Amino acid sequence: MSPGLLAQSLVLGVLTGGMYALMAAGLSLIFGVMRVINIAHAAMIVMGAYLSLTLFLHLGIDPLVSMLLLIPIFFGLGALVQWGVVNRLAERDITLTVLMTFGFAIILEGLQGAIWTSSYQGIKTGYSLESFPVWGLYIPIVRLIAASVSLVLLAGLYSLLTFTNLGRAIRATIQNRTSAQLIGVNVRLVTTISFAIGIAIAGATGPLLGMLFTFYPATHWLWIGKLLAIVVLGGLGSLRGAFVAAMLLGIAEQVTSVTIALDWAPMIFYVFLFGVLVVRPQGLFGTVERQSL
Amino acid sequence: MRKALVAIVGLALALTACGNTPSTQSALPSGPIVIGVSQALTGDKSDPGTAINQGYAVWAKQVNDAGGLLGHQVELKVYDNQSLADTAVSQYERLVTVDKVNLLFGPFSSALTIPTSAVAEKYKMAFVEGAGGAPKVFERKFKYIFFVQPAVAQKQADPFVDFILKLPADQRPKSAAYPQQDDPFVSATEDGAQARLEAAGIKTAYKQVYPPTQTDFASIAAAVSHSGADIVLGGTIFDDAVGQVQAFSAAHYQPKAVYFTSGPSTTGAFKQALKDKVNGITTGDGWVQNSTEPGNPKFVADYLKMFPNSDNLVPGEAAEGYSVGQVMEAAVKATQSVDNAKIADWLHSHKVSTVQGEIGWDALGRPNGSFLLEQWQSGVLHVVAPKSDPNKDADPVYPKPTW
Repeated sequence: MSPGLLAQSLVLGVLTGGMYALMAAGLSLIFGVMRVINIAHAAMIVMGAYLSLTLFLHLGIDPLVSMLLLIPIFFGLGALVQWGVVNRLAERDITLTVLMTFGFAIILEGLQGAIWTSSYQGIKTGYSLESFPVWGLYIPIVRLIAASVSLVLLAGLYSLLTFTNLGRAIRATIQNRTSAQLIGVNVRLVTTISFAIGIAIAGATGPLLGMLFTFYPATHWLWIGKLLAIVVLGGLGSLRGAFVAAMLLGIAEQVTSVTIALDWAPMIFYVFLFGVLVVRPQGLFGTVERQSL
Repeated sequence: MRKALVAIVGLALALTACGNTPSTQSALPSGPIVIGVSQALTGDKSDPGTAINQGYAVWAKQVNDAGGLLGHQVELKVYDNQSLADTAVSQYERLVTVDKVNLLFGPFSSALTIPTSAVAEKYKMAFVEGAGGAPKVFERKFKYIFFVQPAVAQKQADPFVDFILKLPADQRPKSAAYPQQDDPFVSATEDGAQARLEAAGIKTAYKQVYPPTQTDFASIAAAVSHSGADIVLGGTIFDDAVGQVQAFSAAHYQPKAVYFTSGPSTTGAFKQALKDKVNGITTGDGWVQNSTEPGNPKFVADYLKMFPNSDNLVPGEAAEGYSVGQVMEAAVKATQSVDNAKIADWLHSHKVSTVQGEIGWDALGRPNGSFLLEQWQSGVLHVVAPKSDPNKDADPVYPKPTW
């Protein structure tokens, strides 16, 4: 294999990995705060893609603009779903939430099929197919935009978690829910906001997914597998871990598909996952919770 | 206890008997003649699947406007199988056993025709289909299947390979790339072409198979581009043909010739998705919009009346669907019945004139003609080879214009 092709696949891998990181960030945050595995996360991302496609086709709104509209809408929906449904179930039996979000995923898939049919779709803007050369490598513009937007949103999320009171409260809740409550954190409110932020990120990712990849209602099953692999590999609940894992897997996937074979590319996710879990069961950046005596 | 045992055995025997009894509805109905179809109206095969059904609809309307078939109106009973084989199989079961349709038309693509034709064979229903030409369709030696295209899948790329091999030595490509979907029709076409090109000394620079769910073609395009392949034979259905062109274009890869097994002949949708990037792309097909075959101008005019579009384009699959109707119509009229056994016998021993030309079948339902080489030029799909074909209306452009 030529060094040029390896370099090209590395570039594609980094750009795709940036996108994966954003997709996984919301999932990881929700797990961190609530210990809820949101199986419907990818279905929500695909929903964002469909809404963005509709806004683009009927009103001519650019997907990057529709992203700004989708963030508050998905935030609101996320808060409503958390407060109205997830929270009630989570307080009774956390394992039930897996079943519930699984159900959500199927409902969303059915809804998308009913509205948009199960035909393949893509958001094709005027700049969709453009790319520019850098040292003999081609950088696809949409991938660069998607990766850049991912970085900006992830940086925003990181700042929110690190430098604000809300962020400190969220992190405290992730680390120890009971202690956070004892020191006066309104855990319930923090949980609702965190869940809503997670869903808002999913909504924001939708238009990017729609520009980069073909999608149809059942695509979310392909994605949720990848996203779960990313958050588990990175360490459940760790944003930094999700970012590193997404980059690793994005690069591994692209390089595998050009060096070994295309059908090995999806498998490489899970080979990586098994490898890491054998050596570090808590994932790359996960922490081991001390067992209470 | 003994009574219960007898009852269970009796029930089991009765159920077995049900399974063996052909449920073919052979008598002419009192009302309309109902034709059952499970079609890929949504899912990854929805563009060509929808186009085939449009062909069925144009045929049915023409027949009904002319007084029906043997004096009966024709009614299409259509289910959407979402491009899923399991769903298609259960829908054909339902069409035969519950809806008790009189006749069956096939679904789009070999992948769905292979499992569903077994249902038709089980119930001894003539399975006239326009889009299942892979070798596996005919391997089981079914008596009731009839593929309505000029030739089988292995031969689809022959006119393209012939054209490449006839190029002067200094223009002849040295290597070819075969990025292809995991699909029985695609692999038959691609393997046939690859064997001939390799035998003629054109090296295989790239060959990879991707799943039907592949949605990202960037790394494929990067690898094909770096392989330095002079020409590309893409093993595609539709969305992946569009995906490949977009990714090749983004990677600034400019092959001298591009052939897709399926996609370019779904004219309207293909042009809409790719605009002027369609120019130079080739495919193999049995039909072209301005064909001079008898009945074709009326088919084209009626299609555009029923399914108007801004480009005034008729997809190739609609012609395949329409031909299926023509074949069934000829058999029903000749046998003066909807008795599927008689229809199958008649088709095995007769040729039928369709908008794709005259088609006849061997004992396994395989047609014995050949395909045309078609190329997009200035936004129109032209027949560019073979030279002897009366519908040839342009010369092939090589190397293809850049995209």
